[in-house]
Amino acid sequence: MKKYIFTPLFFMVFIFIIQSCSLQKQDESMKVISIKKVVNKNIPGYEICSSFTLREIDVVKYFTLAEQVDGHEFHSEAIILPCKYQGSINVNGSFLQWEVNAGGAGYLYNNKKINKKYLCKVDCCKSFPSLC
Amino acid sequence: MTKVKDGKIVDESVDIKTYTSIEHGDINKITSIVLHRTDSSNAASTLQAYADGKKSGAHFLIDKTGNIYQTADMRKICWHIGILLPRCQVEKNCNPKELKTITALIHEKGFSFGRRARNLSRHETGKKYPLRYPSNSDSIGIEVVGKFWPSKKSFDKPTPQQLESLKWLVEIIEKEYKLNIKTDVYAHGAIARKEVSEGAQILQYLFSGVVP
Repeated sequence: MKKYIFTPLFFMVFIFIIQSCSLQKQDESMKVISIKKVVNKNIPGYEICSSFTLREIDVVKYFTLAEQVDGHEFHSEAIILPCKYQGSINVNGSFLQWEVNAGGAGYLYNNKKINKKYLCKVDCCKSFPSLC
Repeated sequence: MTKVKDGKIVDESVDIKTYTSIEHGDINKITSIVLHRTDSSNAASTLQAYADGKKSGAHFLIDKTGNIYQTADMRKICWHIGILLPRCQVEKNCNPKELKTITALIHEKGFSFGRRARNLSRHETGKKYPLRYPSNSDSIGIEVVGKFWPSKKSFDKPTPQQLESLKWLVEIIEKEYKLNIKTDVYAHGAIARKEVSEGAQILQYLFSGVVP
């Protein structure tokens, strides 16, 4: 009887440890170096920005869960609101700039060729409902 | 002699490549033109997206070489606007009641930021042009190929060939639908929840003949 109780318990603990290690690994591959909130007061509706908050841990989570999309999809789907967070980030040893807009659109880029665009979709929306 | 027949421009400089996937119902009256940038480096990727069945797109596409593609019938609605900005709020001429409605919609509790912007946009589309900015149902969209660079907050500088083609195309549409180039042509970034710089350079060129 004891065996039947402990087997599922063992697997649950095992899965928890594996997941924790996996999250730990994501954190290690992406490190936010700086974060700053930017509000464009020339755009109507900027007042909503006061309730938009993003922490460093959220930035890592966003770029882990958001979907990288091509220019066409970004151009047609992205909603750009007057508030965003931006800063610099180390991704797998590369120093990049990042932006996450309150409308759910994101950028990872540098001054050279890297120009990646992201949209907050299914998995991202579950973690950040306010961005969707 | 260039002419417009059955919603299409008949001229050797326009390559007709229409895609039914981006055509959605009939336009009753064309009131305006909206200038877009593709956020791509070439026309091929945009044409491929249309061929793959993407539903959003514009009526025309101008490649870096200046080649003009007509990608949708001008009698058809294309989804090219997205989320509209409230015109009276941008231009600071809302009446107090309307301003109250707009403020209530954008601050409505229980919705995401994007949802509130969508709800406000839906409210705007209920108004008649020109009380609101152009919507999908009454405007022609022109895409000009050019990538957006977040590091500069701007798009690729349009080529001289693109600008020349754009000017020619806008003049044809303006004449056909009796539009006013000074009041009925808009940059996408100025009327919708998009990057502010979208379409600004090319609109300025149309107005002044100079690219900023």
